[in-house]
Amino acid sequence: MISALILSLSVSVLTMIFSFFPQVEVLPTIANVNLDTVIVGGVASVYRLADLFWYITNVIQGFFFIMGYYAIKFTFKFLAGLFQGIGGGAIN
Amino acid sequence: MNPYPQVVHIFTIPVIVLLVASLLLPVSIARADINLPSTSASSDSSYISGTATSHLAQPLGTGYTGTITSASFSYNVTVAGGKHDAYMSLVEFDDLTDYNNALSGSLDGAIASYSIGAGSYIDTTTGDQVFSATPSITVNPSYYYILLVSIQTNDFYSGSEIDFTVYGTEAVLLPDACTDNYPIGATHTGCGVLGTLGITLVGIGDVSLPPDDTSTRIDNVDPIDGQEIATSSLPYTFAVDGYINEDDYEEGARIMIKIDRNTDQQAQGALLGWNSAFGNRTYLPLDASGAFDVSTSSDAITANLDFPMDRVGLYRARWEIQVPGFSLFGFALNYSTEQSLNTRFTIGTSTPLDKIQLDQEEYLENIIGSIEGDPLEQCNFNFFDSAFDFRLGSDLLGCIGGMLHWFFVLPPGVLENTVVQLKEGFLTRVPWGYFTRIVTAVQDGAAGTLPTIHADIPIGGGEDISIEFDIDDMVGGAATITDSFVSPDGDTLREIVEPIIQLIVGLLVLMFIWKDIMRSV
Repeated sequence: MISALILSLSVSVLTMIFSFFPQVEVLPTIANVNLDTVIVGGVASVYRLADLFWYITNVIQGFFFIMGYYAIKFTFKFLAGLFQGIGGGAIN
Repeated sequence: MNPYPQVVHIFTIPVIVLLVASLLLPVSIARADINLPSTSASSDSSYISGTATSHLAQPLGTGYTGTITSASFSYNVTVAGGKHDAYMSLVEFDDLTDYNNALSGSLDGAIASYSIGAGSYIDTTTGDQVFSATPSITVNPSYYYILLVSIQTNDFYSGSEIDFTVYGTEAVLLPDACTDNYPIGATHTGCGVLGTLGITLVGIGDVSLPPDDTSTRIDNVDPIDGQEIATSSLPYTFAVDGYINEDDYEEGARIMIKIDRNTDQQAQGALLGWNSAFGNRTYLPLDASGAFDVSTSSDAITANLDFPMDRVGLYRARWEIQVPGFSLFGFALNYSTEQSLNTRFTIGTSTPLDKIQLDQEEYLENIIGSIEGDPLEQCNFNFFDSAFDFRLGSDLLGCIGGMLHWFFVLPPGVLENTVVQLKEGFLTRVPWGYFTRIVTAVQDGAAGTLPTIHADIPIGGGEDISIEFDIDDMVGGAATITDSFVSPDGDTLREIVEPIIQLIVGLLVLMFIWKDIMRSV
């Protein structure tokens, strides 16, 4: 109950604070380039290619798998560095 | 120079043989079709809709003989984009009690579950879809059967954002995330809605469908619970559909919509709770028994709900199916409520205070709903009682454990709600909102057309040759050609080659990771 209360109140307060910040509905236009249109169009083209050539999906899946590996690897490296800092160089 | 030529030779030949065999194998296997009487159960106009994952079950009963050799069902995807998976399976029971329990939501008594077919990475485009499979499942005439259909989004493409509609005739919902069995037409967020399946089975006789659900009920309302209505959408059309049973129906039956405003005192900066004094009602007549689908016109809602609906804030709505109770000279003196439903909605962009109030109300409801029994029940003891026991498992430890659980264990749904609130109130704001927008664009993206390239090539004399490359047409044509390759056995090129490509990609990924690990060590 306490954990739920803390969690709920934290999110509510966080939400209230950030309610003063603008809400992002679309990406901005920079140097006459509408980034939102570019992203949406690019994603649509990738999906279209994936529809037409299904094997692209296998390659993209492999790519994301490797990205996941790197995410885990860098998390470990970051934590190792953190503990190294806390331990005064005890972990090399 | 290769120091191990024999080793390479030994491994190369089997690999080539395996690759060639894997290409030829699907072609060379002959399929034995068994011709049995074919029956079908066609769908009616009702439908169900669900999000993310939905499991539907069609009770088939018993007394079937033969072998199922073909099965299909139709459905409709209402939001384009991404891919989805579809599954169809047959669950077998040897006991009527277990079969009936399954209809109530528990498949524990099943003695076997046969996969009829599974389709992965099905293109999700708006419109009707048909899933078909050619299994070979022999049924036992003394056993009971339930047909399960499952549709779920493919996480890689679209997370959990695909909405779909399945057509059919009678179905019992067995959602994986829900423990309850819902009556036909009932709505449960995240678990799908009961409806009907259009199922065609070949090779299995006497498919009997259970009777239609004729219970009086409210199926869907608009606005749905939790909906946020933009002020630009006002005046809003309220709608409700459902069914009123012939026995329940009386002339003069009606739908009542009662709306209360929560934050009428918002301007003064105070929240006074639901203020029924500002609540108002409108009535929509039901002209006959049976299915109904009624809505307010803009005029009706402004005329009958005579308070302005343009105030930003929280509202709650109560929906009731009412029938006349006691009539005098044709005038109903009172009404009785057959079915009712409570929902909430927001007009305009809610304020932070609205959000906090709504969050806390939902949070308290969750807390109340999650407490099973009194956590202090075991704390009713006396230290000075001679029967008091300090040992493990005693009331004291039970009391402490209960209190710890009550204080620190999150009630079901709180974490999920928190994530949703965090996403809506925090992750969509500057600066995180830019990243969220990119993620949303990728998740919700739908296949479009590839761009067309236009080129003007000067040929001298001030003249140009204009060339236009329709990449979508060119690439689409190439894809059509590759998709048209079908083996004599009916397998497409994709069905034959995809496992090999997945194997190669998988091996390459593993090799890449292995090399990286070895380099780091």
